[in-house]
Amino acid sequence: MGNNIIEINHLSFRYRHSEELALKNVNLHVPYGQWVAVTGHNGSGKSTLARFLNALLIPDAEGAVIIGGLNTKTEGCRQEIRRKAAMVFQNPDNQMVAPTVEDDVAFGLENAGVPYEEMVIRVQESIDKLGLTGLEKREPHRLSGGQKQRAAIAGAVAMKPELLILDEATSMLDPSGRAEVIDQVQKLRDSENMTILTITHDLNEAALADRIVVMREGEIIGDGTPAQIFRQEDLLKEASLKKPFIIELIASLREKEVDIPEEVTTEEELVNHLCRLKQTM
Amino acid sequence: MLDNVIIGQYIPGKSLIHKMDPRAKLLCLLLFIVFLFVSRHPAFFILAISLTVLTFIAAGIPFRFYLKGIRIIALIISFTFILHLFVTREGPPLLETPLFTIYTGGVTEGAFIALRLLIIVIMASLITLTTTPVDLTDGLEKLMKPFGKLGVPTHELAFMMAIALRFIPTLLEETAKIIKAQMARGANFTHGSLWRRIKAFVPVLIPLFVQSFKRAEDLAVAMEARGYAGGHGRTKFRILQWKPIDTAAVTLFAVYGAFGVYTRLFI
Repeated sequence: MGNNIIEINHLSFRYRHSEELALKNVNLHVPYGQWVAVTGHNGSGKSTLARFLNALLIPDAEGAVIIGGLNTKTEGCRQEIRRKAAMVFQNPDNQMVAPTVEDDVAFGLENAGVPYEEMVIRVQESIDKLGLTGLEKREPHRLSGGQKQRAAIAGAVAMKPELLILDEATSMLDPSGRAEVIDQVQKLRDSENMTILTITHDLNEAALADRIVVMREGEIIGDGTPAQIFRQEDLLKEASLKKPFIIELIASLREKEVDIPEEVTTEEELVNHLCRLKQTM
Repeated sequence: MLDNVIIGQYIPGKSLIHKMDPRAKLLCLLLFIVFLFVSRHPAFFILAISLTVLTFIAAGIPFRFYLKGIRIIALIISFTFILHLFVTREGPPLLETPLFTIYTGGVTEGAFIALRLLIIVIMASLITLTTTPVDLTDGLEKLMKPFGKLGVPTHELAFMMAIALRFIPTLLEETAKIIKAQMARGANFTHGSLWRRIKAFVPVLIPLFVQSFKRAEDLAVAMEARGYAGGHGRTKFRILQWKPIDTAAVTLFAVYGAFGVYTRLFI
C-alpha cells in the first residue's frame, strides 16, 4: 500500500446515456517515481481513466481510486488529491485561464490560497524549470503550441505535485512542439523524481516510459516494459496500435542477424549500440 | 484579415499616469464625471479643462490615439448640441426664421453639454490608453468589493470579464481560420449586396459558436482540475500597489469636486 501512488481497484464506469461500459474492471497499481504510458486506440477508455485519477470522475460503490493514500470518494480529500495529482490536457488553447504566462502558472496556487511571497518564488521556479524564462508576460495567443503546453505543465509543477498526468498533451502539437514538451517531461522526471502518467496513442512517445499499459474497449489488455509490450505483435494488432519505426527497424536488423539486446528500445540506445558493435568489429 | 485588431486600446508607456494604481484612476474618473455635472460656473469649467489638459500632458500619449474614441462620440456630441439649439428656449432670441427660433440660452447650454461630453471622453480614453485590461478588471474587482457584502458576486463578475478578455484573441484567430476554411469551400464574403454578405457570415458564426461551447467546457474542466472553487479562500498573484502619487491624484480630484460644490452653492 505504502509505496504505490496510484491504486485503482475494480474500476468500472459507464457514461450517462451510453450503453457500453467506458471502463471494465480496471486494476492498476503504480509505484512512486515510475513513468507510465497508458496507450490505446480512440475510445479505449484511456482519457476516462485519467479523469478518475484527478477526482474529476468518482467511482461507484464497487470500484476505488486511491491517490497517495487518499480515496477520491471522500469529498473532503478531493482538493488535496488535485494538488497531489496535477493534470495537463490536450488542447493548449483551452486550458490557459489567465492573460499571461505567469498569471496562468499562478492560477492553481491562487486557488490553493498560497501566500503572495511564496507564490512569486514558486511561479518563477516553475517557469525557469520549464524553460520559459523571458516569456513571463507573454499572452497565450503569442505563444507557440509547445510553449503553451509547457506553460500548462509549469502551472502543474508549481503545485509541487507527486503525480503529473499528461492527457494527450502532445497530440495537438507539431513535431517540434512535441519534442519540446517530451524533452521537458523527461527532465522533470530525472530532476524531481516525479511520478508521470502519460495518456497517448503515439507509441514513439510511450516507448520512452518505464512501463506501458495497453487499453482496448475499457479494459487493460497489456502491461509491461516497452520491450515486453513491443514483442507482442498480436497485442498491438488487437489494440490497433502501430509499432514505432525504431522498433520495426530493430526487428528487421535482428532478422539480418545483428545482435541487439532486449533493453534497446529508443533511437539513442540503438545508435549507441550499433556504434559499439562497429568498434568491436 | 483580423490580425491587426488591437485588443483594448492600451498604449504601453512609463508615464506617471501609467504607473498609477488602476483603482486610483477609476476613482478619479468617477469623481471627475460626477462633479462635472454639479456646477456650471465658468471658473469651475476652467479648472475641469485644466485638469484634463494636465493629465493629458502627464500621460504623454499622442492626440491621434484619442481620436478613435472621440470619432464615435462626436456624433452624439453634435446631436445633443443641435438638439439644445432647437429645444432650449431661454435668453434673448439669436436668430428668427419663419420655421424656428434659436435662443442664446440654447447655444450656451448646448456648448456646455458638448464640452462636458468631450472632456469626459478624453478622460475616459486616458484611462483605457494607460491601463492594461487586466489591471482595469483587477481595479474594478477591488473597488466593487464593498458591494460583495450586499450579495453582488464581485469576484465572479471580474473573473468572467478577465476570461472574456483572455479569449478575445483566441476567438479572433479561430474566426479567421473558419473564414479561410469556408472560402476554400467556395464561400464569398467580399461580393454581392450587404444582405448577401451578412448572410455569408452565418456559416462562420455557427462553427464559431459550437467551438466556443467546447472551449468553455474544456476550460471549466481544466479549472476544476486545478482546484478552482470560487473566490473564497483565494490569494492573488497580482498585487495592486497604492503609492503616494495615487493618494495625491485622488486628493486633487476631491478638491476639484469640493470646488464644484462650492461654486454651485455660494457663487
